[in-house]
Order: sequence, then C-alpha cells, then structure tokens
Amino acid sequence: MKIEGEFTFQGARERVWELLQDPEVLAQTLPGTEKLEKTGEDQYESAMRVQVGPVNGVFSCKVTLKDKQPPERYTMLVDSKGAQGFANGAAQVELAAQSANSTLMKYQAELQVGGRLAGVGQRLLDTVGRSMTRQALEALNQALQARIAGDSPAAQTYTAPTQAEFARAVAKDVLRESFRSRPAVWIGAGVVIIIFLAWIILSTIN
Amino acid sequence: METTYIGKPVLRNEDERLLTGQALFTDDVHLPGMLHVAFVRGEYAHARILKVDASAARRRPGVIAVFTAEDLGSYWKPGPLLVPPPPIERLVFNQRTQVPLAKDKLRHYGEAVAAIVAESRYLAEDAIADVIVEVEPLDAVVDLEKALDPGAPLIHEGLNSNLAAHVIQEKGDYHSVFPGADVVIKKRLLYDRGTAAAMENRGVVAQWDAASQQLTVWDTTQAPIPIRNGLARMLGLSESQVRVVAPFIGGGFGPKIMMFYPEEVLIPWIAMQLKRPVKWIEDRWENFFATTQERGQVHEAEIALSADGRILGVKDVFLHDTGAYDPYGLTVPINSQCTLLGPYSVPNYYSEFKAVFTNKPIVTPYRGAGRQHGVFVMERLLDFAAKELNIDRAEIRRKNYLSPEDFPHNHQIIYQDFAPLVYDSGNYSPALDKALEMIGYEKFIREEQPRLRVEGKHAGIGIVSYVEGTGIGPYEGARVTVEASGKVCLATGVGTQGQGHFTAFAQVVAEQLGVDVKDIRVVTGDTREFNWGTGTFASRGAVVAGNACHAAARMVRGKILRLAGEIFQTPEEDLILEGGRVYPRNAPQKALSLGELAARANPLRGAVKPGTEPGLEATAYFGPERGCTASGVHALILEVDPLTMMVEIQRYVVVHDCGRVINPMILEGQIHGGVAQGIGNAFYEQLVFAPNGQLLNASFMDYLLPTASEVPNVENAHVETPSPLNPLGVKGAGEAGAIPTGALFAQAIEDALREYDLEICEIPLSPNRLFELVKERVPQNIEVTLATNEH
Repeated sequence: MKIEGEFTFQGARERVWELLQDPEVLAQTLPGTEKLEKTGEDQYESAMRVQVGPVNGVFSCKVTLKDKQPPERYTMLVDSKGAQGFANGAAQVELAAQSANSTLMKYQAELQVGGRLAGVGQRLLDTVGRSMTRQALEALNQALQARIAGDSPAAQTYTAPTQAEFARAVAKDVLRESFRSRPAVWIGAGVVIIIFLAWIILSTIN
Repeated sequence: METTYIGKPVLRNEDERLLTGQALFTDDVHLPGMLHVAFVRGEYAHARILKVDASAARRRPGVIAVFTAEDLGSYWKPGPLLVPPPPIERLVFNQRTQVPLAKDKLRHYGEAVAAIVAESRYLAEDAIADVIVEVEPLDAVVDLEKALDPGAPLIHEGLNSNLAAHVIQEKGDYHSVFPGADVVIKKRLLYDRGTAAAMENRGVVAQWDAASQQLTVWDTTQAPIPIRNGLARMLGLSESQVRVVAPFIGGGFGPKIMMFYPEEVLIPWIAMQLKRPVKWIEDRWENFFATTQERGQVHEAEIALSADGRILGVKDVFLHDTGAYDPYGLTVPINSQCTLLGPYSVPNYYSEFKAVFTNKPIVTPYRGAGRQHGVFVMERLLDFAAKELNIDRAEIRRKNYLSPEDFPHNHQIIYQDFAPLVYDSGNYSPALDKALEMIGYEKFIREEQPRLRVEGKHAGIGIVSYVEGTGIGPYEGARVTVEASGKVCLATGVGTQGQGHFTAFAQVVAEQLGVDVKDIRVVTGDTREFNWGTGTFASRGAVVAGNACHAAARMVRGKILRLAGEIFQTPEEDLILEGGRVYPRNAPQKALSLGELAARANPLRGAVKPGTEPGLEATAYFGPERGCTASGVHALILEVDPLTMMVEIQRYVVVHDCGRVINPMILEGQIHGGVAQGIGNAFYEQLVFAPNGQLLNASFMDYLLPTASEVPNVENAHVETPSPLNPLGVKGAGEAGAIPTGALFAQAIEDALREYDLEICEIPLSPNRLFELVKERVPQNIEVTLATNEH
C-alpha cells in the first residue's frame, strides 16, 4: 500500500518538527492510539486500534526514526502487528518552510500489509489509510495551533477527537471517495453503503 | 427398457431429514469434554520461519496445549501423493506435498504454523495473537508466467526451479497439417483462480476411546475410507480400530476429496495425545486459503483448419498453477489436456504443459477439474475460426463432431485414469439440434437480435459443446441386506455431499428387489458400515457405486428367487417380485413378504444345507475398465448493459447426455447447481492475490458469488446414449453444468457487443474487466456510448 501527499501546517518549521517528536502529542493526535511511549532515542512503541471495514483490532507498533535532518526530513520505519494482521514499511517525511508561519509537509509511505487486514479489509484499505493520515495531520495542526496560542501544554487546551468521531470521519471519507470515482465503480456503491451503515452501528457501540 | 423406479423423478429420501434439521453434519457432533482447536496461520505467502514461540499462548487460561511443528516429533511428515502421474513417456514430475504444520518455511498465505487447543474456540482464537511467529519475508512467486524465470525465488529449495511437472502428449503429427491448412489461428487464453465456496466449510472431530482402543473421526471428507486407512497407518493403529464417518456434508465440489489436509492429520493425533475429544471447524476466512482451489492456467493455443471449417490439428502449450504443493499429482492439467479435444475429430494434436509451483494455496480438482480450461480453449478457437471463415458457430461445431459410428473413439493420449482416452459412446448432433431448437437460435439471430439492436439493446447468443470424462475407476462396492422387517439396508463406501445418493442408489436397488424406494435405508460414508472404496470424485458416484449397488441387488434378487422357488416349488422365472412380496405368477394369494423370506433365510434352530449363506444379503463391487464420456451443449441468451457492463441472462438451455438417467429430477438439480457455479466462475468470482502473495478478497464481501438474482432458470433436456461400459448404461453428470459456462459467456458477450469486435480470451470476466476490454478495443467509442446513455 502506498500513501503519499502533502499537508500545510500553520506554524514555523521548527515548531512543527518539535511537535512531531513529542510522544505525548502524537499519542493524542494519531487516531486510534491507545498508548505511545518513547522507548529509546528515536524509538517509539505504541498500541493502536485500527478498524478497516469489518477488521477491527489493536496493533502493536514499533516506530524507529532514522536519517534525521532536523528540521528538514526524517524516515520512519514502521513495524506493526496484531491479531488481525501486520503492516510494515517505511515513510519519508519532509518539511519545507514556506514562510515564517507556514510549513509544507510532504510524505510518502510504502507499506506491506498482510493478514485479515489485507484479505478482508482490502476494499477500504487505501481510503481508510488516507483518511487516517488526513485526520492525524489535521489533529496535529490543531495541537500546533493550541501550542502556538499559549505556553500551556497542548494537552490542556487541545481535545483530541474521540474514537467514535474518528470512525465517523473515516466512514465519511470512504463514502466521499466512492462517489467521486468513475461510474463503473458505482456497482460497488451498494456494498459500501452497507458497510458504512454497519460501521456507524459499530462505532456507536464503541 | 421397462423400468419401475429407474428413470423416474422420485422425491429425495434424504430431504425430510435435511429440511427439518435432523441431518448430522460434522459441526453437530458434540461430545462430553470436547476441546476446540484454532490454528495459527502464517501471514506471509513466502517466508523463512525463524522462530515460533508459543509460551505465552500456553500460559493463557483455558488453553490446554499448543502444538508447533517441533512438538509433532516423528509424526511430522509431508502428506502422501494421492495421484501418481500417469504413465506418459518423458514425463517429469516433482513431488512436493503439504506438511501438517509449517516448519522451516511458509509457502502460501495461511499455512498452518501451530494448533491451539483450548476449552472453547473463543479461548483458542484469543490465544492466536499470543503465538509469536518470527519470519524473514521472501519474495513471492505469484504470477505463474514468471515462476520459471531464471531469477525467480525458489519455493522448494531442493529443486532447481519452480517446475512441478512437464508433460507432452501427441497424437498424429501437428506439423504435418500446415501444407493443407487454409487457416491457422493462434491465441493466448487465460483462466484464473476461484474457490469452490461450499456452503459448509471443512471440519474434523476426533474421539479416542482408550477403554475400547477405538478412534472415531467425523470428517467433511469425500473419501472416508482412504482417510481411515491413512490415519490408521500414520497413527500406528489397525484399520479396524479407526472409524471414519463422513456425515452429511454441505457441498464437496472436489476440494474435499483432497486428502490429509493438515487439520485432518492433526485433530485425531491431538485427540489421542490429550485423551479428550477434539473439534476443529474451518471458518469462512480460513476456507479461502486453507482449502484447496483451482483454475489458474495460461494457454498458447493454435488451430489449423481447412477452408470449409474442418479441424486439421490443434497445438496447445500451457502453464498450470499447482500452488505451493502438488499432492493431487497431475489430474487437473491432464484433464485440461484431454478435455480440450471435446466432441470433435482432431486428427493431429500436440499438447504440452508445465505445472509450476507458486506461493498460492494448493490446487486440486474443483468441479470441472481442469476440463473448463480445455473446453474454453477449444471452443474459443472454434469461435475465432468460425468468424474468420464466415461459418455459423453451430455449424463449425457440427461439422467437426465425431459421428455415432466413430465410437469407441480412441484419442490416442492418456487420460487421468492412466488409460488411453477412449470415448465409449456418444451422439452429439441430436443434442446440438435440440439446444438450437430450444433456444430458438435461427429466430434469435434473424429476427430478435436485429429488433433488439434497433431498440438499443445489446443481446447476444452463445452455443458451445463439451464432453466430460466421468465414472473412472478403480472401483466401489455396496452391500444390500433384506432385513426381517422387510426393509432393505444398502451400504456403500462413497461419501455423500448432497448428490441425492440416498435416493438414486435406492432406486437402483428398488428396481431389482421390487420394494418401495422409501423402504431402502441407504448408509454412505461410514467406514464401520462399509470399508472398501475410494471416494466421491470425477462424477463417478452413479457410475461406479451405482453399478456396485446394482450388482449387489442383482445377487440378492437371485437369493430371493432361489429361496422362494424352493418354498413355492416353482421355477424362478415364474416368480414375481413386486411391492415387497414374492409370489408364483399363477398364485398371488400365496405371496410371501420379503421380511418373512429374510427370516426364513436366517433360521434360529434346525439345519441348513451345507454351503448355505445366511440371510438375503450380498456384497458386490464394480470397477469399469475405463471412464465413460458424457457430453452436452449449453446455449445462452444474455443482454449486456453498455453503461455498466453488467450482464443479464435471458435464457439458459442445457441439453445433456449422461447415458441412462436414474433420476431426472436429481440430474436437473446437479445441472442447475453446476451452471450456477459456472456463472460465478465466468463473471463474478476471482481470487485476487497481491504481488506478495496476500489474498486480497478473502471474504464474501469482496469475493462475489452469484446469487438467486444472477442465476436464471435453467431449461433442461436430455439425450440418452447409454454407456456400454456398465450394466446400468449410466455416465456421470456432476460437473457438466460448470464446465462450458466460461466459453459460453465469452461467445455470447462478444455477440452482444458485436460493434466493438471483442476477442475475449480470458475468464473470469467482470463488469470492470469487460469495460476495460471494450475500452482497449475502441477507446473513443466507449466514451461516446457512455455520454449518449447519460443524457
């Protein structure tokens, strides 16, 4: 699975860099994160709940940062595993200062995905992957704004989205992407709607 | 021939039990103290296993034991080769069979790595995540055309390539045809994988009774007797200590004739180790990779014809995907090779195939078992030839049919039963005529299709022929017993998976004994009841087991007449056997019931003549010298929506010849079911693998089975050309419905979308794929069509 894109943060490059190295902020803003700890220099371990269609489970992830060139770029090596499968690979992140108050992030990830996650969740994997990324980045940007606005720690002024809010946002993204695509794909729309409904029910229960 | 029961649409004896939930399926077996197993399955299609650590799983409350390959000790052995390669000169075959639990390597996604035994399935599944399987992922071989590339990753290190087999079969001299050939057509044809998707997944329950030293195994197998024999050998038990029951099974379709699946080997062993009953039921997700699959082949095929459309020769070179292991030998590709010849006279034939290992689930026969591919190649070649030569599609087939006087016809190559491919009998033109008439071929082409096109409807017609080699040996047996109640017990070794054996076999016996079909209790698939036989496969139940039932019933009939003759002092030919009674023709008032006669044949006191066998019972076996060849014609009218590329089937006609029909209602059911699977295979179902060997659509959300809305009412007719190879004159019918459907769809869709001049050389299709094919052909036109339809 490939995920790539760009995102503009409203903040200086150094502040964005700092934010991205702060396990507490990351734990709050990365969707589905149940636990995130720094285990060593540039090493993190986390437990994340991921739901892709009917596949729902906790993945334990090891993230290693390497090739760090503050505040310009770094590579993330991801190795995650759970009862529902695995995802591992590398992501390249680049930060470019656009102005004193604006930083452009370019990211590119190539992941090997396997297990039920791939076998059963395939139809929605790309969309959910993109949606999770977008939401994480938006949440990070909000945390950044909160941090810039005051000196207080982000945790006190920034409230991360709940699991249910997150799940609903993913479902919306899934639906939006389905209808934007070519007419030939509409055949699958019925199925997607059913999954969407099931999803809403599930996320309500959660 | 006058019959009372054979050939009649007798309602099925088993349906009452099945429809009221009284039939026992494997998952219905509940035993006191029973444990449940869940398997840890590899998540990589190709990887080296570095370490399997089950310690955390073993500590989990409720978990009784965890077994890895290491824990199996000397019980860990690769499975047996089920079908050795046929005696074909220069044949290469590399045997690599599946293992009970992966030890050093994972070779396809979902290979079992460890078995977790727990108090419940829930607890066992919870413990799956506790088992740490450390692997080094390897590049996977997924594309069968790249499997033999010099740099391809090696799936089995002991071999120097991924070649599983190489076989060449020839008849005549293909190269001799060129001087006389007016047309030579060469095509590349593809067939991709699907799964049988039986309603019931696999399952095994085993119970070891230490007190009686008896092992009982309930198994969803199509081959209970070979399973019993194999388990006894592996476990060091006498065959008489092992009872294997294949109870009611919700569909077999071939994957359940695959033997010694890892779970089948492990569950009985675990039950003996732990001295507690053990159950494993496959879930649907597991079924997508732990159960065998079929159909990946790539053909480079060539046909040479004369200008008047006669086949001079065919050359076909193909690759066959055998998956990660090849326990079933060469049955599938040999079937493709042989079935390609179809009902046609092909004087020169060159066929060469290479079977290749890939990092995909194991390939073994699935309804059609390679015949689809052969039929697809030949029928497509004939369609392209018809177009090229401007000959009608039905005519080019008729022109090349073997004629009734050509039988028996020796195709001079070796078939899956190791015997030369000799068609026993056939009469193909009447089936074609009947199908053309039923579907209204002429009228459709001349009137309806042009009218529909004016209305903007894209309707097309297809008509294809095929043969089905059925009823192969070696043998089956049956025992018929008339009990003192007057009821009859019939026991046979073949398992039953919904084919109507409880009725069709009973009809065969009823015909001989003159008893009501309902008064015959049929027992199948229980080694305690009958322990000689091979299994249900190759459309052979009615032919091989059916004729064994017939033979045993004839013997019992002889005993009845002999005894009654003595009692009545009447010559046997003057006795009448009907309605469960026997009487002299001229004295019906003296009638004795078969029950009374059975009691007399089994006296409690007194003396009998030396040499007398007790009771009215006989056991008989039947083994044909070779298989018999069924045949048929399928015709289809469908409509394609040019906007969505969805197809809608308007008519589906099957004219089938499986020799003498035992029960036309059951036969129709078999054909309907086969057509439904064929439609799925042609237009809906396809297993999609990522380049790393991950199966990407392992659920019914993404793997589309046709439903009642896609499967039309199938109109049936029969032609009966009895087989001379067995006393009943029957041929098999189990796979007929599924075999030619892909070829039929391709032809009818091309006809419906005639303006795009498509050449469909692949199955399965789908709306998306059809859209792509049309777009490749005429990129501008399709946009125009879409635009026009949107307004």
